[in-house]
Amino acid sequence: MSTRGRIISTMLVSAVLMMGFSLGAVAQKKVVIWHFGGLPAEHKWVDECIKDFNAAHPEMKVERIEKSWMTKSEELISAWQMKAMPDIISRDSVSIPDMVEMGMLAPLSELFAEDIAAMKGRWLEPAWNLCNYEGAQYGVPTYVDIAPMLAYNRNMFAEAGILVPTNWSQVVEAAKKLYTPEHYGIILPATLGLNDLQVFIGIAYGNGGRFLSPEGDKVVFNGKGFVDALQLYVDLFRKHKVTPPGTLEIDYMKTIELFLRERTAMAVGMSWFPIVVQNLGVPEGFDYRMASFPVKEKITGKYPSASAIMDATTTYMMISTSKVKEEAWEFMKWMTRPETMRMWAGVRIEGRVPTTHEGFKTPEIAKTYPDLVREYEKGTVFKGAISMPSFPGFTEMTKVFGLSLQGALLGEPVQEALDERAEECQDILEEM
Amino acid sequence: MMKDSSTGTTRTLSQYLYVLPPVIVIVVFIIIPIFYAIDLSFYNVHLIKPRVKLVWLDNYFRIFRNKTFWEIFYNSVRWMGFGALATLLIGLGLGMFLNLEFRFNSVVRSLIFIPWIMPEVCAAFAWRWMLNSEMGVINEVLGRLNLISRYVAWLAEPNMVLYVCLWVAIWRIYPFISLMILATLHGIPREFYEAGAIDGANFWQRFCYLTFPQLRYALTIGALLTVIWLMNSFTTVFIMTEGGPLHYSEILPVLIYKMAFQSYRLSRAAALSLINFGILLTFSLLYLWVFRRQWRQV
Amino acid sequence: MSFSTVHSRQTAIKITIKVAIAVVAIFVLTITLLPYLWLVITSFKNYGEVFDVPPTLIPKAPTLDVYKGVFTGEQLGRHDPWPLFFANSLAVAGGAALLCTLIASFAGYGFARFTNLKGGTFLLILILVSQMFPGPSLLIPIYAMLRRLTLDNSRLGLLLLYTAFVLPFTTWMSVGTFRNIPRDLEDAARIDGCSRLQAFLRIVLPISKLGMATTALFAFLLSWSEYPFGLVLLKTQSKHTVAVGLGAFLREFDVFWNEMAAATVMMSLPLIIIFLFVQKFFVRGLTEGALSG
Repeated sequence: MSTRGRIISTMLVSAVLMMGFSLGAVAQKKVVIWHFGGLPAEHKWVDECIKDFNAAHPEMKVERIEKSWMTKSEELISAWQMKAMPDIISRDSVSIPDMVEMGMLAPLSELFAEDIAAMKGRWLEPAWNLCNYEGAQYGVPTYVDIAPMLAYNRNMFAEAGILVPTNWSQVVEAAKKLYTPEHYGIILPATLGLNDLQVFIGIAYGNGGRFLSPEGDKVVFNGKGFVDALQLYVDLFRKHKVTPPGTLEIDYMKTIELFLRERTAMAVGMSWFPIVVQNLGVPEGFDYRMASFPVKEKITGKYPSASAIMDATTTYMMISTSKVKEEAWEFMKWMTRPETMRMWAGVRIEGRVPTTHEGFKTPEIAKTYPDLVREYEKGTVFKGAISMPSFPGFTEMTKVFGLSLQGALLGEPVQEALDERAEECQDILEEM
Repeated sequence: MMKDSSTGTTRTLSQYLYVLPPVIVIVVFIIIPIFYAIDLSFYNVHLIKPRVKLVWLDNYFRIFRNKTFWEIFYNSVRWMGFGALATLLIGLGLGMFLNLEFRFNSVVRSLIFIPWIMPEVCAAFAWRWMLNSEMGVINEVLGRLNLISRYVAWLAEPNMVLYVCLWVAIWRIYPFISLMILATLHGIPREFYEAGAIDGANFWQRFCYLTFPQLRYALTIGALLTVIWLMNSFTTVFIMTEGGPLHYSEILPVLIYKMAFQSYRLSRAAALSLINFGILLTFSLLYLWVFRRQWRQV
Repeated sequence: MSFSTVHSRQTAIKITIKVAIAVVAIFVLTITLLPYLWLVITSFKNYGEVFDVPPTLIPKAPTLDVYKGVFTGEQLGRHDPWPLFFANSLAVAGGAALLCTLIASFAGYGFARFTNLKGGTFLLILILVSQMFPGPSLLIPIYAMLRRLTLDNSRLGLLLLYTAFVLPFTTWMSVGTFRNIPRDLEDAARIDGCSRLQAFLRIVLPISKLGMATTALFAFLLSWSEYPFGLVLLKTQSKHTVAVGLGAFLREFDVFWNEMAAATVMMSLPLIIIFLFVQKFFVRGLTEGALSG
C-alpha cells in the first residue's frame, strides 16, 4: 500500500475504534443516586456495595453523590425546578407524602408490581407501610430509627444493684439512686432540635398521647398523654434534679458523648444511639445496652399506646423523571437483598433497627437491642408502632411545640405551657 | 492655564461620574430594599403558602399585640443599653491603660485588636463551646478553683443567657473603642498635663477637666458605632443560642430571621425589619444632629 | 524621715505600680486571646481526647489528622468540601474588595476635589447615613427581592451585596484620605497638560496607596466574615462560603469540637496573619477613618 493509503486506513481504523468505544460508553447506563445524610461508616460500606454492583453489572454504572442532610429539602426543590434530578434518592420515609404530592416519586408498586409483591413478604408490615402512601409503595426501607429508647450503663446499674426500669416510676427511682457526684442519673436532651423533640414525642405517644387527632384536624398535644410525659421530664429536671443543669443546651449528640464518658447512668435517645457510639469509638470497659423506654404504669393518654414511633431514614426511592428506571430498580433490589440487608442488621452497621424478618435473626441485633428481639420472637415488635409525625405544617409546629417543652422545664406550669402552644399550632393548622 | 478640553456641562457630568457609583449601588442595595420591605409588609406573603392578599397594617397590629414581641424588644433594649455602657467603660479604661508606658505596650496594643478581626462566627463558636455547661473549659476552671459547686449553665439559664451573649458581643467591640480612645489620647499634647500638674491638679481633676472633654468626641462616635454594631449582632446570638432557651436571649434580628425562615411568614418578617430599621434610623438621625456643626464643614 | 526612707518608699510604689500594670496587662491579654488559643489547642486534639470530660489543657497526643480531615472533606461528622468553601469565600470577598476599592477611590477623589458639585454635600451625607442600615433590617427585603428575580443562590449577587455594604464606610475613609493629599502635585501635572483623569490615575492614586490598601483590607475582612446574608442567600452546599459552612457544621453536629475548631482556625488564620503584618497602618486608618466621620 502507498504511504497515503496507509495513513488513510490507520485513520479509518482509529475512527472506527473510537466510535466503538464511545458507543460502548453510551451503552453503559448511568444511575445517579443522591444519598442524604448518614454517617461515615455507612457511606464507606455503601460505596463498597456500589463497587460490587458495578462489577457484577458492567452494563450500568451507579454513581453515589453525598448530599447534606440539613439542606435536603432545598436541594431537591432546587433540582426539581431546574429539572436536574438524580435517578434514586435515599432519605427519610416521613418526607414521602410531600414528595408524592409534588410528583417527584415513581410508584414502585405500579411499575414493578411483580417484584414488589414477591419481596414484600420479607419485611415486617409496619416498617414496609412507612413507605406506602395512598395505596402505592414509593420506597423500600432498609432500616428504621425508632424512638424512644433508653441507653443504660450496665456497670453502674450492677454496682448500684438495681434492675433496668420497666415503668416511669422505676425510671425516676433508678435515676435518683444513680445520681452521684461523679455522674448524673439520666440525661434528657431538650434543645429545640427535631431529634430531641421526636424522642419526647415518642415517650408521650407511648403514654397514649398524640400530636394531631387521627382525623388530622385538631392539635391535641395538650392532652393528658403529653401532659404527664412532660411532667416526667419536669420532675426529673426540677424536682429530683438528677439531670444536668444545662439540659436545655444538651442535644442528642452531646447526650451520647456524655453517656460515653460515663457522666450519666442513663440517657434517652433514638435507636441510632449505637451507630453514633460506633463512630465516636467505645472506651475500654464501657458496657451499655439499649432498651425501649418504658411506658407509664398506667397509660393516661386518650389514644392507644404506641410502642414506638418510627422513621425509615434511609429509604431508597425512585424519581419519577428518571430515564433509567429499569436499571435503577436493579440497583434498588441489590441494595435490599437479604445479604445486603444483613449488613444493616448489625453485621457492618450497628445501631439501626432492622425491618426484615431475617434482620431480626442476626446475633448482632440480639446483642444491641435485646428486648426488641424478645418482642420479635413474641410477635409483638412494632405492634402499635406508628410513623413519626409528619404532615404539612409539622416543621413550623415543631419549633412552637419545642417552646412548650422548654417553657415547662423553665418553670411554666405544664398544662398551661402546652395549652398556649397548642392554640398557636391550631392556628397554623387552620391556615394550611 | 489649565487644560480644559470640555465645556462646563460635560465637565460637571464627568465629575458626577466619579461620585455617583457608590450612590447608585447604595440606592439599589440599600434604599430600594427598604421600600420593597414597606410594600411587602402590607401583604401576607408566606414562603410556603401561595395565597397573597393585601392586609394593610394587620401585620403590625399582630406584632404589637404579641406579648413575646415585647419581651424580645425589651431584650434588644437591654442589649443595646448595657452593651453600649459596658463597651464604652471597658474601652475607655483599656484605652487609658494602653496610654501608659510600659515595656510590652506595643505588643498588647497589636494583639488587642484580634477579637475584632476574628470573624463573628468564629468568635461565637469559640465562646459557645468554652461556656458549655458540661464540657466547657470555663466551668472546668471555675470548678477546679472551687468557685462553683455545680456546673453553671451559662447558655441555658434564663436570667443569665442574654448577658452572656452580650459579653461576647462586647468582647469583639471594645478593642476598637479602646484603640479609638488611644488615638485620641495621643492627640492630646503633653503640655496640657504638665501645665495641669504644675497648677496642682491631681489625677482625678486632670481627668475631668482635661482628658474627658477631648474624649467626648471619640466617646460619642464610639457610642454610636457600638450601638449600630450591637443592633446588628445577629450572628453572635444565632450561633451561640439561636435565641436561647425559649426567647430569653432573643434579640430583634434573630426574631426577624426566625419569622421568615422558621415560621415562613415573610411579610411579618418584613414588618419587623422595618421596626428594626426605624430604631436604627432614629440613631442615625441622632448622630447627624449631634454632629450637625461638622456637616456644615463638609 | 530620712531621705533613704522616702526614696525606698517611692521605689516600693514604683514597683507596685509596675506589678499592677503587668497583672492588668496579662489579664487583658488572657481574656482577649483565650478563645483563640483554646481553639488552636483543640484543633490539635485527637478524637478520643477532645471529648475528655473534664477537658484537658494541653493535648496529650497532638495530631494534624483533624486538619487533614477537614481539608480533604473526610471529617467524622460530615463530608464537607472545605476547599470549595474557601474558594467561594476567596472569590466573593476578593471580588468585593476589588470592586469596592475601585468605586471608593474614584468617589473619594471626586468628593474631595469637586467641592463645588451641586448636591455633593447631600450625596455625601446620604452615603454616610446609609452605613448604618446594612444588616438584619435588610435581610428580608433583599432576600425577597432576589427570590422574586430568581437571583437567590448566586455568589455574584452576594459579591455585589457585600460591595454595597462596605461602600459607605470605605467611601468615607477614602474621602478623608484624598482630602489629606495636597493638590499641588496634580495641579502641576494638569498645568503641564494632563487631563484630570490622568492626573488622578498617575499621580494621586499611587500616593494614596496606603489608604486604598486599608479600604481593600477592610472590605475583604468584612466580606470574608459575613454570615447572615450568606446563610440566607446561598441555598445549595456547593455555593457556601466558609462562614456559612462553619455555621451549618455547628448547627448540625455540635460535638466534633476538634473538627470545628480546625475549621474555625483555618477560617480566621489568614485574616489574623494579614492583620499582624499590616496592623500599624490598618488600625490607624480605621480608627482615624471613624474619628474623622
